[in-house]
Amino acid sequence: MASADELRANVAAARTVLRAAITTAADNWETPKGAADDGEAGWSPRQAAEHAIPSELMFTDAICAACGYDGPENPLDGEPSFASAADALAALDAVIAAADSKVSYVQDEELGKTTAAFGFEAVSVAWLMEMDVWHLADHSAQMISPMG
Amino acid sequence: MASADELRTAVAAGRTVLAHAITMAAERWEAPGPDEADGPGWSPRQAAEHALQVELEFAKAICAAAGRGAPNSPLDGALALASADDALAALAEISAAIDPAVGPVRDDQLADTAADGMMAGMAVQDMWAFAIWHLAGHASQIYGPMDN
Repeated sequence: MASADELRANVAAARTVLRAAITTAADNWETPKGAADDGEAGWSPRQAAEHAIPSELMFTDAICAACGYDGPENPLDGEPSFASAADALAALDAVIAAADSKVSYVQDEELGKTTAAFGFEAVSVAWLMEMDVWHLADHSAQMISPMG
Repeated sequence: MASADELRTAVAAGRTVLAHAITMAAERWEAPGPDEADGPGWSPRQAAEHALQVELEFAKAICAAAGRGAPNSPLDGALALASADDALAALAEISAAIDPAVGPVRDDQLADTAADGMMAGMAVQDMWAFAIWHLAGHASQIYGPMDN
């Protein structure tokens, strides 16, 4: 199993990919990738960012709940609304700082702790971090998909 | 617009995420993915064999557009990655072949375009964005659905 440091490195790498995806998508920020009835698959880069960036806080909240930490401060003011890629990058920076202020303390022996909070079903800290990486990769690919 | 260094950093991050997805998939390496419209989804092995091969194709096209020599391919024919360990070794070899070739590409070459091949007419920056999308998309695919 990956160590806490390895999992943090993977999350950081996936955030770097998300950053590049946001930057790349700047000129098509509000262009949907599909039709309205495609659901999530049809989101514009803006919609994907407004979902993916706050989700970083949700994953962190769940990790904190499992580990018995207080949750992170929420640097986002109300419903996320990123009118431009630059707004999204600023929000991503703020969210990463808030998340890392908590997740950086997770120890290897805490990776097996579980939470049933936030709609998860007894999912472990390690799995939450894996899900976070997958979620970031998935929405990064969505934002810069040439198929839309 | 992202700089050449930012794009290289994002590609490296995408490879980190792909490598971790490969590690996570080791025990279901040849298991088909979720069904898709045209049949069973790719196994992690199939996705990795495709993603790694295409890494080289992107690099060759970027080098050609930027007027640089192509990377030396470390691959002997078609990729056959019998295990996740084989895939990780191949990813390291491919990265080692690509990085010296694309490392010197400068910001003022990002608008240079490929003259022929599958990516004819695409600018270097777009090919790099394509490569990042491709890595993130297949990493997400190899991870598989992250239900808890």
